[in-house]
Amino acid sequence: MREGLHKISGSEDTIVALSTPIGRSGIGVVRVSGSLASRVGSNFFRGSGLVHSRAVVGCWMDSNDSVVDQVVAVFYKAPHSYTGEDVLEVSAHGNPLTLQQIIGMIQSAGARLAAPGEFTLRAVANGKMDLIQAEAVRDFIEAQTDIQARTALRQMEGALSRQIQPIKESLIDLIAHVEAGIDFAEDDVQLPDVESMAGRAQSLANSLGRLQKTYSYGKLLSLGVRLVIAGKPNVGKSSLFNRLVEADRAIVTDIPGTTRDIVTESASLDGIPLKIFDTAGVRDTRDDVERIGVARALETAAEADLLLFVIDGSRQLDDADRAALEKVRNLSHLIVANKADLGAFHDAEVDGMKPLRVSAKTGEGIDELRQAIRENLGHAQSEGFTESILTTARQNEAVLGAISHLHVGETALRENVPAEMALLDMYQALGCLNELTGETTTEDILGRIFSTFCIGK
Amino acid sequence: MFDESYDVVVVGAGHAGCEAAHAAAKLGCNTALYTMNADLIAQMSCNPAVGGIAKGHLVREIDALGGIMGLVADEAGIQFRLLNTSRGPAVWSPRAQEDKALYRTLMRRMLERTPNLFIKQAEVMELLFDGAAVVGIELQDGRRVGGQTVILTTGTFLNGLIHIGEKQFTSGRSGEPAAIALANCIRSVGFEWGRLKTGTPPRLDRRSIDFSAFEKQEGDVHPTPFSLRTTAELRNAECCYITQTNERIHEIIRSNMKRSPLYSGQIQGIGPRYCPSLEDKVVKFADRDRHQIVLEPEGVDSREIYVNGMSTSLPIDIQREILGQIKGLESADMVRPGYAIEYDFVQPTELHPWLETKKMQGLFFAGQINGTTGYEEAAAQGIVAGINAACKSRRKPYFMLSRSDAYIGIMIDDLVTKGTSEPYRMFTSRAEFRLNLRIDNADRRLTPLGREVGLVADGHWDDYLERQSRIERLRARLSETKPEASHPFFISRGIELRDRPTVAALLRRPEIRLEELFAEGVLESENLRREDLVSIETAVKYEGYLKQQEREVDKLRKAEAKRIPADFAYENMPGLSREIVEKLSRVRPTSIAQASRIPGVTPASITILLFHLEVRRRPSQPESVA
Repeated sequence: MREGLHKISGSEDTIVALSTPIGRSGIGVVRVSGSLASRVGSNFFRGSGLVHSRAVVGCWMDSNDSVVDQVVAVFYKAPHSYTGEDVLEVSAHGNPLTLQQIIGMIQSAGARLAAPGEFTLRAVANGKMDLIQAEAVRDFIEAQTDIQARTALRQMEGALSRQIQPIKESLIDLIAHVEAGIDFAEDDVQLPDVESMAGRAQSLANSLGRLQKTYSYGKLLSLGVRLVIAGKPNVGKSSLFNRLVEADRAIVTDIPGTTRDIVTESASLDGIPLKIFDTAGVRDTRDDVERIGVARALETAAEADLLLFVIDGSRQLDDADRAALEKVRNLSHLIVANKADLGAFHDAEVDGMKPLRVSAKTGEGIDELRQAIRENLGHAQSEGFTESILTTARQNEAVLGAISHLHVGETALRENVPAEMALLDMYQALGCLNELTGETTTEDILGRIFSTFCIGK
Repeated sequence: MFDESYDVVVVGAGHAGCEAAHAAAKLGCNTALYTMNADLIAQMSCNPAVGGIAKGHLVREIDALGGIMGLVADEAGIQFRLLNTSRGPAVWSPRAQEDKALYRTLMRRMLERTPNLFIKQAEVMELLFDGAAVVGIELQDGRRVGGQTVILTTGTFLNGLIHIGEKQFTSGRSGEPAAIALANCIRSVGFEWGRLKTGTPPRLDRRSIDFSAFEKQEGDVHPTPFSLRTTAELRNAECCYITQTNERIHEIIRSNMKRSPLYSGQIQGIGPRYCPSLEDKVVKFADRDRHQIVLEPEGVDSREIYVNGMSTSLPIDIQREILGQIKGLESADMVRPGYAIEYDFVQPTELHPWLETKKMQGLFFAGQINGTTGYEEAAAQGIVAGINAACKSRRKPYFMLSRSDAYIGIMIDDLVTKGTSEPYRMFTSRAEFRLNLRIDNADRRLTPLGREVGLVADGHWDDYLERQSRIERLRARLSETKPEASHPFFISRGIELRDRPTVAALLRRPEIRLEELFAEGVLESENLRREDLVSIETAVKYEGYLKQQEREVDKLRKAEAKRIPADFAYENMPGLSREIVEKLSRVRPTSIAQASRIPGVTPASITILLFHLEVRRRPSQPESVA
């Protein structure tokens, strides 16, 4: 928590920040939240009156009554705003100097600069959104692919919270049943037997288990994938790299060892952000520069989520191939036989794996390669989720924790451990789910989330 | 100015008042206990029983602190049962049927033997204030009595209004006047007050009942006492009898619903969900074709039988009709009808955790006036209010129990933090650290605290120390003793012992019970008490769960250690909504732990609060603003 929240201090309760990126742009949006927002508007904005939720065109005036900029201002009356407080949004022209001046004027009126994530922190504090939604706001802003953005949007709209809610309700219901057996033993309450209660705990764990499985994809989606292309020199690694990023990014020549440094480019596979690394051909060499390139290639390969080991499919596998493969074979990899366009093709198994036949030059086999990558990354499913997915390690930990406590509780019930002890784990499972939606949380969780926000959101 | 003066004045001699007066007097305060009728001290106005699930825990805790309810209940008990023994030891709870008249007599005797304690019969009309502090009371006869502190334990008497069918009349309890003047005085102070409702069933003449029609419920073969100080043998002199309502009765109730003050709108107060009237049960659980009725004796000499489960405010003729439909009660004669009673209570968020009101210094509330229900809940608040009134008049630090210390701590924290919208009853499920809050370790949890505060007398303390050392000795013996694998106990049960485990290791197996090891001669018997065995066995057998719980307790302790100063200004705190500021200002939590339990206070606002506490704690280090 410390990092982000330590900055939220000062005695004023109104915050201001530039909500658009710093630098020259078409427009820049300055956002103000807090009790001074309305006074800031009346002090500096000249136009027809500010009414809740309506865009008004006017001028931003300085203290000498001269125009700073022509702007559009929107005022949101608390609690019907993003933060739940009075909010003023000023869209000015995107000149950094003008924007800086406007922010300075608002500060002089008593507001202070917002800390990272502070607008959203206030929204959470005022009950405008829960933690998952707050995380989603950050993910949405940082989304690089359309699917990332869509997933974040769904979470922002509360899809994940909605999905967890019935599981939580059902757990609360189960706990209530076990509790009733304890507290109302004197009354004639009718309770389900232990076996059926254990069964319910198990089915809750199963529901959460299905949700947890989405994290393997959600993780790829949120963190992206490092895909490294490696192999001995001159097997067409860079051509394949270009084909995969579909742009002439790396220099391609016929001279072996042309790519001496690491070349990277971003691409998207079904919305999963791919970071593709083209590396120097791995061989023993006396060239110092190339030797450094080879060493860096191996370093890069070691951090790959998946390695494409490229061979020249038009030739027999030789010792250089085998030597290069030996260096990377412990990593998760696919064998790609390039140059299928050259006719004579050798498809003998390499290292117990049938090579994927492609031609970087003609594009032959590239779709199949993409499919193989997809499968290797552990998700055959590409699009069209009906359910929401887990996208952050925090969410995943909480769900895993809940599952494990449910399993312990279930076993305890079946083994006739006294109910009040079995309940200990049920409550801890509930605690995990509460942590997820933020109903009960520790300071650290909030800090972790809010410290990763950019200023102005 | 005053006719007489006391350190502590207690108004009301019910279960809260008795414990409060006893505690204050024991702590050396000159204490007056005012009651409208000195013959009805410690009257059990509803069922003739003490204890029950979670309530039995409260009584043990009161006893461990040096209170008196457990001692009296043990001596006046006529049938003892330990409840929930099919579950784990954490939720075992003692309960006893009581001889009501004997209970009153013994409690009065206990109070009369307490030095510094003076019983007074008079109606208290008015509280006397000097600014924002209470200074005494005024009686009906015009006398003014000075009190450094005043504890109100008014039960159902404040503006009490009894309902029986269409009839209603002011009354504090059946046959006793209500306290109208005092109620109006309290309302006029400006406390947030409300109306609650409770009810009681009819009492029948024992001679007119055919008991052969019922299932008999006997006391335990080995009765469990409330007080570990009780040495006399507990007596099972009476039995209870179990029967059920039926569809005919439910039909009678349904067709007479218009005559129920509960459903006609005549009663406005909110009743306990956990102890509903029979008409409530029939309406809310329409799918059930019967409800349990337990017939409980009101005493050994008394001819009255309490009809547990039939609390009602239906008209008397309907009550008769209902009874007539139960086999064995066809010709039952009703001694007293059932009734509902509405009364004033004050939202307990008006109180500090030491039960003093925030608005008036020196004024303490305990019992039903705080929105609770139950003798045990009342007594538990009484002892805390009594101790703290004494602390106040002696200028000593207040006595407070944490949620991890005791059920008493949980109850008071719930009340002062959340307030209540219905009569509050104790449940084990309210205790998040239930496994640690057992009847077998109540003394270990609380007796040292009671000793520190001065309520645990020398004899009590010596007994406590002796029991602890008995337990220690036996525990050490169990971790050294390695029984012979060839002992018939193991052979007959097919239990194979490899590597000769110690008894302590053996006890971790669910099927091995310490009591049996003694009974069957695996362990040489010595002078042992069953309570000791339970304490040891629980500690050993459930060590894993207890440790798991302990980790949770540690988290709470950390949050409790983050104190919030009493004068903390929430108003100007950036990032907190007005609604949350209002809630925090009203409750004025003493710690972050308490703040986080206030309903509607979000975790994010707790984070903001923590941050500002940090800033306040280190004002010399200004924070950099990005």
